[in-house]
Amino acid sequence: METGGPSLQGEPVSVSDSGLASEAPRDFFRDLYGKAGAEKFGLSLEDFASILREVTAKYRGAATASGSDGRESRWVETAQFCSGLHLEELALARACSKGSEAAWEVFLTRYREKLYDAARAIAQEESQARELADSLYADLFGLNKDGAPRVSKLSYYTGRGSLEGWLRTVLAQEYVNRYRSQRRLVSLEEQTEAGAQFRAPASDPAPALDARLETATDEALKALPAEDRFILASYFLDGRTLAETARMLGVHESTVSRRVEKVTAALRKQIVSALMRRGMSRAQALEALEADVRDLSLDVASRLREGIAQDKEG
Amino acid sequence: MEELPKFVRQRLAHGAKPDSSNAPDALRGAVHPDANLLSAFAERSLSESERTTVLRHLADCAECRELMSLAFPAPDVQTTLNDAATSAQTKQRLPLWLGWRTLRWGVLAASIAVVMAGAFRSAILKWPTAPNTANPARTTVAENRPAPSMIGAPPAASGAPSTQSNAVTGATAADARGMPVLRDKIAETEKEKARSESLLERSDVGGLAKQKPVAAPAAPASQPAKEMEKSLARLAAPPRPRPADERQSSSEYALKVAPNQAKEANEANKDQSALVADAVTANRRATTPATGNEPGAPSRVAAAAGGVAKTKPMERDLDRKLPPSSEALEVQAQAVTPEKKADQLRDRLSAQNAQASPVGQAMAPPPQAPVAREQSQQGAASGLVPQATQEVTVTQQQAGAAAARQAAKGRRARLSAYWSISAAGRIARSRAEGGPWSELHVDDSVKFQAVSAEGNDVWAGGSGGALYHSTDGGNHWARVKIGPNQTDDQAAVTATIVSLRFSDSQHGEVVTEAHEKWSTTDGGAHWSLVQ
Repeated sequence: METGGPSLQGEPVSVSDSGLASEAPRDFFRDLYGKAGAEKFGLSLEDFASILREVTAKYRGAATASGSDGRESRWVETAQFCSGLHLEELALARACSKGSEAAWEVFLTRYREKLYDAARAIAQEESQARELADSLYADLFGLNKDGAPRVSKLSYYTGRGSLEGWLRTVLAQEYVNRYRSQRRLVSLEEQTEAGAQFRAPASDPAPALDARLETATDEALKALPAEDRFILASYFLDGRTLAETARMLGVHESTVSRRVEKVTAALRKQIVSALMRRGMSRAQALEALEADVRDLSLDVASRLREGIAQDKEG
Repeated sequence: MEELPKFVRQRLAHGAKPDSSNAPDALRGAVHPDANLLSAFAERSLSESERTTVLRHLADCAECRELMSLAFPAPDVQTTLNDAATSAQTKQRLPLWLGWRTLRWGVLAASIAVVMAGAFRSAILKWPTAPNTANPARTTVAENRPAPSMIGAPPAASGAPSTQSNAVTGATAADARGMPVLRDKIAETEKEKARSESLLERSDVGGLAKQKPVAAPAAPASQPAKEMEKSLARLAAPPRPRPADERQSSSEYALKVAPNQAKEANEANKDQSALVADAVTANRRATTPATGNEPGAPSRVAAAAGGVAKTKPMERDLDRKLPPSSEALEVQAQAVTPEKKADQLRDRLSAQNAQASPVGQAMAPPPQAPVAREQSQQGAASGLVPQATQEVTVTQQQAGAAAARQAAKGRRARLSAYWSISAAGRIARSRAEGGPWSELHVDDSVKFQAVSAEGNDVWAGGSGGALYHSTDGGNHWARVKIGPNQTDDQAAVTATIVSLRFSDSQHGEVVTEAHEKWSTTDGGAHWSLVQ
């Protein structure tokens, strides 16, 4: 632990690597403690300060500031970071994880129905939704397993986002995990019905496309901002609607619509330009981009094989 | 929309390698962002650098995108899913026009129409007819009903008794909200008709415990008996039944008044009106010139307490409903305005009767009736009326409300006291909302941590597995042993009780510090370990 220069309040404080003073001005913690209302959930000031240090260490990581004013700027950033957390929900969740009855009362009052609603939205089926929600409740409460200390999932909540959003995400994760595990247990009969038993064998590897196309495409995609790639992936790969994609980004649907059109057009233009720089003519570049030889070859091959198999059965 | 070339899609799906930058562990590309980051991302709570890192991962990770899509569906998707879930539950295919999107505007329009209709009706029917009659009731309402919806609530069309809280509270919130001018009138008449306040608060059985103390009106000596008769005459009209939601909102214990109970209350209110009419008659007959009578004199209190049977037809009605009971009196006293005289009355009546009969408990409010009546009779004669008059009227209305005995008993019992645990770990009881708390020395060796009350049935638990139970609102307590065998002390629970939950007098659960949950279905006689 390094000791630093004057603090914001003029008193020397020791600053840890996380940027949050282990002996930070108590006013700072007390202020946040009051804002969080942690006392009513049964959390002490020390408990709350410890939680803040833990969260800060997790996200702030190693000190990044440099220079003579590095420590103070880091402290300012850290203080801003802590102030930007969902303090009240953080206190509530951590108090619940410690088994505070008062906190659980509040938690159940606020989030019981929301959890079940979210589970219904995810599972799209009542019984499955209820099972999902109940399973999550057990994890949130942290039932003892084989005498092991109770660990509540709520202790992982860090207050970066709202508690409701965190619960929804955890619920979705639980659902995905369950769906994956259930998929592995699909019976032979179900596989047969799904046609898995009669799936056509993998086709032969497609003929290699012009490497220039691959290189130009990769370059163009890499140059895209992450958000544009996310939009393209969500809309074209996942098949999500503009509204769904917009919801994930927290923007308006029209924004996503404009971005899709703009990015798609820009991408095509960049790839064509890159192909032309690599010696192709414009017509050749457009043709290479539009004509997907791989798909064509796959279609023919798989259809041929299917036809042969049917003849044999007949 | 322009399509993305298939080859480009394939390369996009192939994705870039995870970005192992200097980002903190939580944001390293090799690791999927946790629920905290994903939810913060969706809510735009991340810093720019964090957001970019998460975006890079999401652009390459279909699993995380799927997770985000599940956790944060588009609003239309959410609505559709909710609707689908709802329709699946009902197993009916609702017509499109019954969808929430269509209905919500209809509901809103209907609500506005109801409010407007109520306001219009009130304005047309009430305002011009009896301004003097209406004002005191409204005054009472305004003064004693802190709920905004009740302030300014006009009385019943026929001039509901101001003392009947049912009448007052029966005034719909819609009426109140639509009558701002009436509120002004109420404020004016409050100053003139201060003594009618307590009539309102005492008449409402369900809201008795919630009533704020109303200062004993210093009735001017010149208050004529005629004024009292006018007040009583106003009470003659049948009160409106109080909506269930208002009953609940005025009660700390969120009483759920069954429809039959509400109906009984309505019938009781009708009885009250008849009793009021009798009271008017009785007062007129009883009024005689008198001097120097002090309302609330101890002698009258004592005499009245024993003089129930001596009164007229109204009293006979009261007799049917007013068994003597210290418990009832005590509850009643507690529920009424804690003025000095009310306090004296409580003390005396509770001292007089050692045991409360079950019926008496149900009749908690009425016993004050004869006391009030005598006071009113003499007070009316001397011109010192206010408290007596109020108590008479209150008593009459209480008697009427008591017709719904079981429901009234439950309500009053539930509202008889408030419970808490003091900082010293003692059971604390308050007889009125916001009123003074008194610590009960049930067992000073126990540091209590939880208390649960259902009417007069109170449970309290604390250190050493101590569980105490009272069936009389905390006056007497019995220790209850929690364990598989009531006779085996060694098996009894010794861990501190941290939580109690009793749904009724028989069914309850207790949670200890050792994370044990014990339940009982026979009022604590036997316990079983749940978990």
